[in-house]
Amino acid sequence: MSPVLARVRGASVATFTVYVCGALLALAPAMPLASALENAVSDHPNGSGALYAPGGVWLMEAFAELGGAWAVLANVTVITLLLSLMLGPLLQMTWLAALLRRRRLADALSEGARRYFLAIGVSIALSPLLGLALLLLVAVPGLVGLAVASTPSDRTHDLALLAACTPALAIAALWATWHDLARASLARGGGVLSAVIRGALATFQRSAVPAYLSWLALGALVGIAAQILGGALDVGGTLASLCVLLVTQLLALLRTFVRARWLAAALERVR
Amino acid sequence: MRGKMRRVQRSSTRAVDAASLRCALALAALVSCATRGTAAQDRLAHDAAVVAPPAPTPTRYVIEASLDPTTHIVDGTLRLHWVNESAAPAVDLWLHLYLNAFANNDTVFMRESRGQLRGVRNPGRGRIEVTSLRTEAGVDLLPHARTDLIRGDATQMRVVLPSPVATGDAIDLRIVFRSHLPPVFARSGYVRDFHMIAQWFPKLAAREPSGAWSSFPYHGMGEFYSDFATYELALSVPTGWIVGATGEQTSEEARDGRVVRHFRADRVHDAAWVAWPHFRERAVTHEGVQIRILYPPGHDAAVPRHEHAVREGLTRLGRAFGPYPYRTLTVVLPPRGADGAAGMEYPTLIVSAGPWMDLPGIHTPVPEDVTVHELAHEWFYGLVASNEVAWPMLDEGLTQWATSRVLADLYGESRSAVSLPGLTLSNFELQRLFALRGRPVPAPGLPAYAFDDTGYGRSVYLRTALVLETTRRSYGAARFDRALGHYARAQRFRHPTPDDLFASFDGVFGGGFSDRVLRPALMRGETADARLVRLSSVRNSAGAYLTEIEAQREGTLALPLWIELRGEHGERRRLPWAPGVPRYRASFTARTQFTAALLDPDRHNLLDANALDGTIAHRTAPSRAVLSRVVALFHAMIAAVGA
Repeated sequence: MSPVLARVRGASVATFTVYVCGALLALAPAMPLASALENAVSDHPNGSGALYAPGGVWLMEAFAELGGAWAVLANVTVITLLLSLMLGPLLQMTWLAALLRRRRLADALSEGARRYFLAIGVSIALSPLLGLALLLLVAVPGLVGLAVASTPSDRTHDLALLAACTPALAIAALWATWHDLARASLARGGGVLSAVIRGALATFQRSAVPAYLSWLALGALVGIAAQILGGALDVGGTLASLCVLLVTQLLALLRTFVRARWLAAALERVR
Repeated sequence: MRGKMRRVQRSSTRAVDAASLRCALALAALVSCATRGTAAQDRLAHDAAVVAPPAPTPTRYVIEASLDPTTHIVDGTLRLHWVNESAAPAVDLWLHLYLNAFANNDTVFMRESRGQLRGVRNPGRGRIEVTSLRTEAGVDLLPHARTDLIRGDATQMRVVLPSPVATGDAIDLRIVFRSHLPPVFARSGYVRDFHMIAQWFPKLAAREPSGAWSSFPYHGMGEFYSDFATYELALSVPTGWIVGATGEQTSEEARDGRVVRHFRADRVHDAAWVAWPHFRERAVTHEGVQIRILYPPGHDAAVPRHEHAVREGLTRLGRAFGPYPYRTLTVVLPPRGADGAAGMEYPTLIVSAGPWMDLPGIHTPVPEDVTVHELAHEWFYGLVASNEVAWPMLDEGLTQWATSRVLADLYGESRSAVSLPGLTLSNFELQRLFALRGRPVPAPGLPAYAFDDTGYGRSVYLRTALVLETTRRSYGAARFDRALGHYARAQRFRHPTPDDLFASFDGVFGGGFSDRVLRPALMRGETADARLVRLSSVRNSAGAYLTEIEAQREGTLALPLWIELRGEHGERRRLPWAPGVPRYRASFTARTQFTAALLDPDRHNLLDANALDGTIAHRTAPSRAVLSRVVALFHAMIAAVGA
């Protein structure tokens, strides 16, 4: 077994915990939305099956019926996402600790908590790079747009703008990879913050960005597969509903393990 | 007439005009005969008559115009031969100078629209100057012309005639004008070197048969209205420029390093043109109509979708409302930045819109929607030339309905608005939510200036379409199609009013139909809200079930409705609910226990804002995994921002 897979296997409990935390957080905005949609069609003879009717008659009615609940739902979603952002460093450092030393969850959690603020420090230290990506996302397409303003071809114009986004996207990918590697270095006890970040930067020679992007692509594919399979299996009835629940959650778990594999690889890279 | 006006003389001109009048009369006679025949004979007779190109009209616009693409100025000379076909002598002439709507911030258009149209803001000025207005004999009429009829607005010109033009008489004018095009945001104007040249010349207001001029300023909402005429255009552009215009191109000549293209259109009520050196062109013929698609470079992948929409539209709309009578149709896809020009109709020329790409697997008919809509305007605006300011529902509303109907027939009702993997949305149902939910809007039958931007769309476009589709579904598609087809055929080359529309429906559905259904819905904005109140189904001593159902009409519009009862083992029973019954009660005994009820199961009534209150279920079908799927979505989102 490769060292990466061995690490993933050794940290199964932590990975599962991260998955459970994500699922619980997802429940916060999902429950009121699903409940509102189901309530809207609760008097329909087809029950929640009406939401899937061709033409979207009842789905549109249900969304229209949300009315003031939209604001509540938006607030819950924003709060959940902020909570995810706050919990993120703790979960990631705990996860990395478990992946690094195959520790018990409680010990990993304690190590994660110890490095919580340093992990936030990594994010703050690297934030100028993210800022640069955002700046480029606005500025470069703007400049390219001016340069190609007179081209008569809409296709050429739009493709040029799309190409102009590439530097910003490349820097964003660089930032995301560096961010994970720096936190992996931190988990390895990489000393002061600047040394951690410098050490992480050194690992770029080993084609880290493509490795990061491959987990991202695989994770996205698994997420899309969950929606497609969930839709295909959702034919009504307890058994089908159970199948949908199992399949979507198994795929969410798989996506978490794909990320665990990348984090384990990051730990190997910053050795 | 002091040499300024003259009676129509026995000249070659008069011979042409007389022939035109005879053709028009023959056409009108055919229409008149057709209305007395059966529906099928009616359609066939009329359609046979209009397959031939439309005959010339007595009134004629001959325009020579030259575009300067660097200053965006069009210099033009209009020779206008106008025949007074009304019952009263004309003491004055009213001309529309629409481009003056963009002359300052105090015009009626700018005040009503707050300087924007369909979300595109006004970035600059435009105007039209009439520098000379003389009779053919050389008498200067400009001193007798006034444009200060409304404070700040010069979009109308009243020219007092030295002596009246009697019924049947004609007047010949020579008008020199200069049109300064605005940056395009409201239909007409330029962006870079693209020029959409519309509402660009002094155009006579429509003169009603009574002799009244139907003149109005350029309003923020609502569009245009003019009489049918023959147009001859000589359009001068730099060599190499592509021109699309109303009518057929008859010739082309090189002159002073430029090219002059000649177009002619008979029996149209406006003329517009487009000029751009970068246009790509696709020319095809469908059912005898030469279709010319002018599109920007890079749109090659999207053009087949527009072409398909035009072909299907010509066939289907022609079958429903009488064949498209002209020999040409130009479809313009404007380039980037010219959104203000997009989605607009002119006689034999439509401006569509849409992305340049055609993504595989994405079948949402967005480009088709715009193209079919503008094409449908060739009937409801172009051929059936109602007053677009007084009764915008007669053009926009009928066109919206026709568009949605064509899309539903082409792509299927359920996927006529959105067709994505896992999600389909119906065009009519989407319109129902936009039109009927939210703050109330004025009835669609009101004049355009009674609406704000949103209300205009929700009422004039959407509610009219919903009224028509509800009528079609509730009272029978065949009869509905016959009634609307009759209206379109009988009113071809005329200026109908809502009364003419209602008369066609009464002719097919019987007297009083419009008073019961169409007038309340269109002219007073009545709705057909209804809800289920109660369902009970209990076992009696004989072992059967006594089922009782109650429903209540909330809207004042009386439509026939159905209630479907569903038994616990899948049994279904339908109960009719007559239009005149505000509160419905029924009870019956049966072997079946009915546990659910659905009002309007076939979705006939699109004038009910809330369909959810038309459902009752004591026992529903097995539930779906809504929560699981929503959780999966949010889980993915949280994973992206979290650990």
